[in-house]
Amino acid sequence: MSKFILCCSFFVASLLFVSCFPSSEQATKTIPLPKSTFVDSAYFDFAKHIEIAEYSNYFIIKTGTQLEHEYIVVSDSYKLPDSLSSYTRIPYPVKNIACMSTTQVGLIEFIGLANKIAGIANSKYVYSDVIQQRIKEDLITNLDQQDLESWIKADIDLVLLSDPQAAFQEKLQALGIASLIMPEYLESHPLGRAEWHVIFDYLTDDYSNNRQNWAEVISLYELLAKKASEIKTKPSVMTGLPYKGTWYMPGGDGYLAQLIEDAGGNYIYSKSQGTKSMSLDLEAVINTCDTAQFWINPGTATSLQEIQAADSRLANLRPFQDSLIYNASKRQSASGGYDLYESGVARPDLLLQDLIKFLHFNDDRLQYFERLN
Amino acid sequence: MKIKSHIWWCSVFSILIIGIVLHLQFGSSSIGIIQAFQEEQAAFIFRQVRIPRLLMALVSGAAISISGLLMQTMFRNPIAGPYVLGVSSGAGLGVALSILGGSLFSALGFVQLSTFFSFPITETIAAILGALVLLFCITILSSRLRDGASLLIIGLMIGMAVSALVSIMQLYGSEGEVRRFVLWGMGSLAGVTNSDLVFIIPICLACFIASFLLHKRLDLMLLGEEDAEAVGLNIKQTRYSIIAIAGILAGIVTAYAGPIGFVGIAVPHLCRVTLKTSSHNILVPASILLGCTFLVYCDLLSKLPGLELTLPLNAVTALIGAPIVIRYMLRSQKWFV
Repeated sequence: MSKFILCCSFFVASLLFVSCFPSSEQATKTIPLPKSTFVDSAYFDFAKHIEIAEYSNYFIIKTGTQLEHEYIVVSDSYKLPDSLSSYTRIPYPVKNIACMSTTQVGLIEFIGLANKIAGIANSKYVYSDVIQQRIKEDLITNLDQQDLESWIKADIDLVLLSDPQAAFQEKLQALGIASLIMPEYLESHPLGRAEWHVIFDYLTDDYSNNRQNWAEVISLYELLAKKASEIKTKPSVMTGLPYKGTWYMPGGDGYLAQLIEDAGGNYIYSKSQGTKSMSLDLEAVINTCDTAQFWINPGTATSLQEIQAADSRLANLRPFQDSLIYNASKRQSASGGYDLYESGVARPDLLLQDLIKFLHFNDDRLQYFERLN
Repeated sequence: MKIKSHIWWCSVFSILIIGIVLHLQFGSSSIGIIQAFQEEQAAFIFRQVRIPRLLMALVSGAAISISGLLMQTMFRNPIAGPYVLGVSSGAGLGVALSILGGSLFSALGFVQLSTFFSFPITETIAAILGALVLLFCITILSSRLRDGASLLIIGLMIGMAVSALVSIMQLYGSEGEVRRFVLWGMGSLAGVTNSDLVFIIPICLACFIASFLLHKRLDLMLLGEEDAEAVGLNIKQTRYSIIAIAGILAGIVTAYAGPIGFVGIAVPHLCRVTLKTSSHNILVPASILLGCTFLVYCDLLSKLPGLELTLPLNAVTALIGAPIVIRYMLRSQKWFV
């Protein structure tokens, strides 16, 4: 009997001992956080292809022409409710950003967050001295899409892509690296393109102190545009350079068309629709651009001779004969990187200033552009 | 499927003349033939854009067809052609080296070698050399093979290896260089100028004449090397002549117009099937005529008359050519007559 009582006592004691520890299910059960409430949304004056909403526990970012790319920027510790599971998760705060385009570099540098850039694809094409110095100091890695090891080594936590690349994004996801589609080049206003810098305020925990600079950019741009609109003559402008008879011409709804219009110019293809470039036949462009007075951004050409070497027929165009061809090659790195596609993205006011100077005042003291001889 | 010879020649010639008129009349701008005699701008477009483009369509259509015919005869293989055997890929490698080579060697640390590519090595010379080297390699390998299928597999492998090299170069090329190479790969006749034609036309005409003069030897090649040698044919000399002509024709057209697929296979077949002959004194001029006609119409479509836009010529040749050849294949069931 005593043995029985001893066994029962041991059994009860064992049960009590075991019950003192929580079950594995109970151990991992998270305490539900208070429901996130809407706080505010970022207001964009010019950018149309981005939306940002701020909630108490996270940010919702939507990008794309139809705002089809949806992201939730949230700290790792926060458990997302099912209703938000369809959003692509970006860890907050982002510490190491990878840029796949120099335009992104320009925007990040403008906002004073160059220290957040940890990797750049084709970094040799970056113009900025600050970034090049950081590359030399191994603070920024040159990233290669085929070499994923370099991405891990650089400890990247967010990749900025201009367009969706499903296969590559899947690989990144498998490595635990988030990606964000940033089609700022599809904006129809140069200020809209530049305004995308605001996104970095929400991705990182370093709130920029660049509000004043941005306000100055808007103010100067609008002032210059107003002055240019008062000039009665509107010189016609063409752009680009053909290769093997195909001419890529920016669409009439694109930011370049708007920049030319704001500079008091008349973009030859201003009536064409769309923001993307159109692949046009050489014959059509020669015929349409017969009346053009100015020619800007002729590819990588830095002289009239190079344009003629590309296609001898281009020498018959009026801007060529009048030597009124301007390219943004003034600020070009030795390896071929154009600052137009870097700081020029964030400073449309300076670009506008250049355009107004040469379109209306025959003034060649320019910052980004230079007249080709 | 035999069509009476004189009807064939008259029909194809008439279709070609109509094609030439349409090609001159319609373009991506609204200018017509009459305006060319009235307005200065229209005359410029005719002289500098439409006529060179038409001439290039005629020359390259004939050149690619003859190149295909010669390769099919030499390898005694019905689906040999500059595109299938990787000869166009060889030309492509040459062009890729001239466009992307500098960036590749610079990235690999061979700075001195990269400066070599900054010299104006023309894409044309690089493409011709690439095509000739590839065709030479394939010829050497073909002498060790017993059947045509193996040859095609080797052609395919070489094409893939070349594509791999080009992919590596693209990886290290700048955005502008890669875009230039991609555009080149789509094929277009619009980039050809009158000064280019001064170089292209005489070379191609010389090759056409040379290939016609080879017609008896080409007929003997169809007997097989042993039999041909038995009747006194100098096989080695004939082979080298064919390689030189086919390589130059494929290389020069590929350099200026990009890789134009399909024409090299389709046109010689259509000539054989419709004319029911393997005689090269007929097939050479017939391939020239049909090649010209085929490419003039393909280019007319790629111009998208009335619109300012353009389509890749390579896509148009395949989309038009594939159904035609499949139709004839199904009806004739024979490749070589």
